Amino acid sequence: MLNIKLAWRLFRREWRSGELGVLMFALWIAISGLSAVTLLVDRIDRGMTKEAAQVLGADQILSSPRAIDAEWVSQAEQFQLQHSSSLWFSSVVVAGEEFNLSTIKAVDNQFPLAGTLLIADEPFAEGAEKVGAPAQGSVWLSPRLMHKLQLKKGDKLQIGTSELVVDGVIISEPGGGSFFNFSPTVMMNLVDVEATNIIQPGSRLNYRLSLSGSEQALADYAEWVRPQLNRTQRLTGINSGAPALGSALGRAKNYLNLSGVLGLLLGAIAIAIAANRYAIRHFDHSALLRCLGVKKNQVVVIFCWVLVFAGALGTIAGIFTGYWLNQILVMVLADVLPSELPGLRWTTLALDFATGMVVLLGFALPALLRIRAIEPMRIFRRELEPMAMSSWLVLALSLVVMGAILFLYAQNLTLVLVLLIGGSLLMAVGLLLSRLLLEAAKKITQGRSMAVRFGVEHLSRHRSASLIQITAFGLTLTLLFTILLLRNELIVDWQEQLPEDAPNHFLVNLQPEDVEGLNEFFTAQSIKSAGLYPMIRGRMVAINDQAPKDVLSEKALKHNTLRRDLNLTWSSQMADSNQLLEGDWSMGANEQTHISVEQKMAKELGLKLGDSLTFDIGGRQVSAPITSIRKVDWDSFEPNFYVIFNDESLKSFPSTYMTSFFLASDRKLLLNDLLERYPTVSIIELDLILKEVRKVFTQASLAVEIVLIFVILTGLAILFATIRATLDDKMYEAALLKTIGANKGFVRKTTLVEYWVLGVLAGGFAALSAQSLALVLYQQVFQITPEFHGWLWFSAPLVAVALIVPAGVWGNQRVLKTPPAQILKEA
Amino acid sequence: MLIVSHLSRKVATHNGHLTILDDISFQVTEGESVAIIGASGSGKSTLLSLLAGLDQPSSGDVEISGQSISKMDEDERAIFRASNIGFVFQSFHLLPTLTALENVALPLELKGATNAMERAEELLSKVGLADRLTHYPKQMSGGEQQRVAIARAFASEPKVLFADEPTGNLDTKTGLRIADLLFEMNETQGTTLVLVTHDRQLALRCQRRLELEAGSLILDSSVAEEAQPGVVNA
Repeated sequence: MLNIKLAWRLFRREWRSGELGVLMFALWIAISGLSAVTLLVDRIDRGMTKEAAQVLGADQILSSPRAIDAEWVSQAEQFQLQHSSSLWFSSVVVAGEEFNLSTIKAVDNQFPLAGTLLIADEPFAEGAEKVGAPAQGSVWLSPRLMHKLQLKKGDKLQIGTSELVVDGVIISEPGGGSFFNFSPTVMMNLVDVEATNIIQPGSRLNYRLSLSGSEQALADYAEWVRPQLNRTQRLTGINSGAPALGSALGRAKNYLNLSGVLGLLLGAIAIAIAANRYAIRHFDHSALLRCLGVKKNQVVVIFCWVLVFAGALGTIAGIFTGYWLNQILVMVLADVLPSELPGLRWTTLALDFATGMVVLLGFALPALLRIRAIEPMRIFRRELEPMAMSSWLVLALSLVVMGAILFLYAQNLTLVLVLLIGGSLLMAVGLLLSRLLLEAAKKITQGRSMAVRFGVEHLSRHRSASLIQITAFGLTLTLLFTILLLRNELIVDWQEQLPEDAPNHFLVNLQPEDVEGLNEFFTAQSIKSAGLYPMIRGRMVAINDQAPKDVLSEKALKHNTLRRDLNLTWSSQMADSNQLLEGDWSMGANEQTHISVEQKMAKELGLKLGDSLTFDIGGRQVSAPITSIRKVDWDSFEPNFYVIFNDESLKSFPSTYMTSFFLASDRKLLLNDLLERYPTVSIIELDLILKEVRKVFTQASLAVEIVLIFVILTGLAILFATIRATLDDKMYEAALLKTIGANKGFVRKTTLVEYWVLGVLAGGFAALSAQSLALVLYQQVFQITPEFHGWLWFSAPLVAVALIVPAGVWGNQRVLKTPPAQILKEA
Repeated sequence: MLIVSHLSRKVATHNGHLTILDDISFQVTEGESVAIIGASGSGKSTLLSLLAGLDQPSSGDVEISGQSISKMDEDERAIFRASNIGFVFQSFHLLPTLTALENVALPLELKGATNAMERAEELLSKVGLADRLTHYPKQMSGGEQQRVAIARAFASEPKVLFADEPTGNLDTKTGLRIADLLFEMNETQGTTLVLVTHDRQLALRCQRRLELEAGSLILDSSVAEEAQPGVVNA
């Protein structure tokens, strides 16, 4: 207790004298940046997830071929989840002479839990928003079904034994874009289902329980229900619902988290330097306390408490600033941020506070332990410097603290390990290089003017101090450049993934004889399509002539490709969204039958080139060797296949054709034309989903930009703080120079040279490490193909010099203005 | 009061052991004032730091008030210092972030005294700085800083006061006044005073002088004056 009291007094006195200023400034900046970023990331992240829920129609969907257990529904209520039940099944619907296979979606009045249901009076018109099921006895139909069955509003439609009135056309339905939903939709009221008498034992049904609520409740419910699901039941979340959306969100989240954490690491660097400065300035203080009878450990305890007080104050100030910055940002960006931005989470702030304290103590501890090692004898012999802690120990301690915090925020072990191990290696290489370059600079500047030589020599004489500065500046710039590189890659990647003219309609069930005609239609209307692919349904029955269950593991047997019929195709051309990884793409007609297999399927089933796969296609078996392995971009809105045969090799089997194409929204009426010409085809409209996906991408990009700006500002502030913290030595030397007669110009010039060299070296270090770090992060965290950035090697040193030199010269102004005697006395 | 027996201090160097203090023995009685004199590098400061328990001897023993401080560990010595020993240093060693009052109160606060500030104010008045309580060290002259240091040294009512060149950083006139203050305070508080100096004038004001040369005690005035009175006073 006495120690705390003493520390509190000491803290108050040091606070008053400004001794803690640099340390608290570093902490304040670091935590402001971190909390503004984490708050924003948290809110945008949850906002984007909500936005994505609109696409799915709910946060989670539980689907089952049998009626969903009443207990599961009541449990959802227990967990405070909103829920809506629906039943999906396929049935032929009849209108007069016309009939068509349709997907019937019987929904209750809670539908939809998220997203917008738009109903219009005629096909492809603008719709009005509806909530709830169609009134009892009435139905809503998808536009193409209206067309196919020649219906208009008010007509009658027969489903099973019931006759229902057509009350509207579905323009947009949440969750409507399921890729497996090939037949057009009829939406009816759940209460009307029984009267249709359509549900018979053996009917293929899909009972769905849509759920919506807080993330915690959803997670709790998922945890509760998952163990009870059997093989036919599925719980789908936002990430598994729309793959393109899921991976875009995932990357955006990763990026935002990474930015927050890198921002914090920036702060940590500044804190370490400021704490070291604080410790060095308190060596005498500590020795005196020891003379006055304070015990060795007591000194550390007292200083620890001083740091805790300073840390708490700096962190709280930082959190307040971060909070207000966040509020201002949200206000300024109200138009572009997700429409429903969830509220602040106080846990995020609490985490930021804890982080601030842990970083402070973790990085200041090595410095404090030096204070502990002070001998009271120093009071008589000032030259008694305490032993610096073993650099390995310091490094290990910092790594542990950093690792823990990184993991806390990023929740990604690969990322943490990459950053820590990679970071340490880079630092070692960077330090070695800087050391060599410093020596080289000394040689190069021989024979130059006195001020230049003096500046360079000063750096090389104080080698360890210079190396610490190069490392600090270099690391700061590394983190800034890494964030910048990743931001570019991510945004370019998203733009490439969803170009403006990405296919937004799928067309299936085209008869082979219509292929030529459709191609002509597309050409005549200038519609860009992804090419027509034949589609043959087949089930994989043997691998190298052995049944899969005999050769595959339990886990592999659960693979998607073994549990259902596969869509097989043949082609001589490889789609743009595919990439050959192994083997040889030669898929001409008139060759012996062979196949190309998708990479993940090959990996998970343990398939390699030369293995033979056997498919059962309508009762006939076809075997073919694997001659190539492809990577498939499943996020592209093009027809994608696990298995592709060589051209025309499945010609003897009955097939239909499919394609995807782009149609601008103002030309949607062309679909009616298309359906009239080719009555057998089904068209799946993805344009509304794509619009949502694009909106999420835009928001994610924007979030990434905002965070980038934030991290850069934090980095700059910290750069200045670092320079300020390392100024003491420089001031003293400059004062000495002035005392022995150097003029202002000379002092200014040596300072300029010093910071210039520091800048170039730190910039080079940053270029090397940012490039390496980004390479690893691309592959390990973001799954983006890495690129080499030549420009970085020029721009990094330039940027470093542009930032460091003015900051350094500005800092040194004080030296020029203050009488040397005062500086020498203060020292 | 202070018993030094066969005190030696050796340090390891590249060329073997270097003897800084060689077999020093003497005794100081309670309330006595002793000056340790000698040329630079004769071992004065080392001897002082051993006497004050700031450093450990290679061999021999230092006993203060019947307690052997050489046998204590660092933490025990710290506790011992807190209640038995006061210091005055050549370069004052005031904490720059603390005011005069706070500097003087510090040893009292470290002991957990409740009336630290009142006591500190009293002491500062005694050394003539009643009007400088809230001034920081850098706002004061060297003489004033040393007076603050003296007030601080007496704050914990030590049994022994160690002073290392207390006038070394001051001009002659100021030095004299500081010395006056030091002896006066010593007398009124009844403290034992051990001071290191190479200022002969200052040394002569002490009741007794010990002279060191190359780590050995070559003269103890209490013995020498009996044999050859006037040698040191000459």
